[in-house]
Formats: sequence, C-alpha cells, structure tokens
Amino acid sequence: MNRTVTVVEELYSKFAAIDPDELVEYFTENAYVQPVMKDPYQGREEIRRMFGLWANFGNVATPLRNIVGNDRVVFTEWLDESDFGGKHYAVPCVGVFEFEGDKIAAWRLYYDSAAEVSSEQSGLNARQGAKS
Amino acid sequence: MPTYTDEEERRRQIVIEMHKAFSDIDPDALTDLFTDDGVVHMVMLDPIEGRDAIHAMMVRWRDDYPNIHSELLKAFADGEVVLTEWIDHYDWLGKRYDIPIMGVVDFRGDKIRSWRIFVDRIMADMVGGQYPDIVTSAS
Repeated sequence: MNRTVTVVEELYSKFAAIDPDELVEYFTENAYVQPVMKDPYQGREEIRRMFGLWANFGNVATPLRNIVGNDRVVFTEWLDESDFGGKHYAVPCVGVFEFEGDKIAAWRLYYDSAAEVSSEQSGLNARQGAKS
Repeated sequence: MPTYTDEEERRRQIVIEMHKAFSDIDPDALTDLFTDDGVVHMVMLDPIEGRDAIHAMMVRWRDDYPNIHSELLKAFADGEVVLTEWIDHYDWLGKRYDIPIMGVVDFRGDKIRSWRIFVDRIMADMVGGQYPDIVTSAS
C-alpha cells in the first residue's frame, strides 16, 4: 500500500476527536482545502481554523467506502456523519488529496452542500462569491 | 502511475472513453456501457435506475448540452471501482459553465453497475429549471 494512502486513512481516523493542531501537521505550509464550489481554506492557519470549526460537530463518523491512490494522489469516498444543532447529518462525499512528499498539499472535497449544515450555522466557508 | 491489472486498466479505459463520448453523445452506445440494472446517481437527486431511464437521461444530455466537453482530470482504478475527477464545460442559457465534479464508477465485469456523481446543488438548481420532475421527486 502506498504511504500516501496510509496517511489519508490515518487522517480520517482522527476526525472523530479533532485536534486542529495535530491535524494541520498533515498539510504543507501552502496547502489548501477546497470544498468545491466554496471558498478554499488557503494555508495552515486557515486549515487550522477550519478544523477548529469541525471540532464543534458531535458524534462524527467518516467511514471510508473507497480509497485508492498512488504516491502523489489519493481518492476517497466516504459518508460524513455528524450531529449539529440537534440534527443528524449524513452527507456522501468524495475527495482528492494531492501530496508533496509525505504532506498533503491539496484536498478537494465534492458533495452536495445543500445536504450539510449551513455556513451561517457552522461558520464554515460559504459558496464562492457568497461573501458580503 | 499505479500498477493496474489488465481488468482494472480495461475498466479505467472504458471510463476514459465514456468521458470522451460526452462531447458527441450517442445515447445507444453510452447506455450499452451499463448493466441492465445499472444506476446513475447524482447524489443530490433520486437515482436513475435501469437502462431505459439511463437512455432517456442520455437523450436529454445530448439534446440539452450540445456544447459539452467533459475534461477528465484523473481516473484511478481499484478492483471493480474507478474513481474520477473532471470538469464539465458547457453552455446553459447563453452562459458558459465550468463545473468540477467527481465520480465513482462501480463495475460488474466490464459493464457499469452504478455511477455516483458528486456535484453541488448549484448544478441541481440549474438543471431544476429543465428537469423539475427529477428535482421535485428528490426533495
């Protein structure tokens, strides 16, 4: 198995109890996380902020349905389950990780944003161009 | 590049060719890629099940998106699964769109059993103007 796949599996194993400082170490200094169609989280400080917001979600589970990759790219498919504001969410997601060495340089996430907690509630980035 | 078995590489090539074929859609040929109980599921809508429904969907795509180009960025195979990332470029009501999408293609042998398409609701909003029956049934 590629080292990159092992790193991504390890990352997913930590989403149930998020430590932003720990998780941001998986990323390069200039990395970005891009929920597609939304504004990206560019750089480690923004990614740490994103993980801090993710930590507000309860009962998080991210079971992987598929994971495949090579030494530079990893594809994932998972169900993103969580509780927020008294509601349970289960959002099917897929993602692409691009690596530089052992670190993640880019993570693009694809899902239906209408199925997740609204940006107004969560504080997470909104759809591109939606900022006032 | 990953090392693929002959079967994995064949399935990967089927998906690569499928994306090329969207620039000049032949509904019969594209439908033939699927098993009789094949499913196309845009995750924000109800799944489209069976060859007749898939054929009807291909006809709509052919008629409604004459200028589409499906730019495949990546395609990885693993056993009977092929995962893809691509950008659909097309015109809609006089405006050009470039929509990033990912897909998961499950094969049964050399036929597609299911194709899950992960696209944001913004696209559903757009097709909703044309496919209100699908959107309504999924809401």
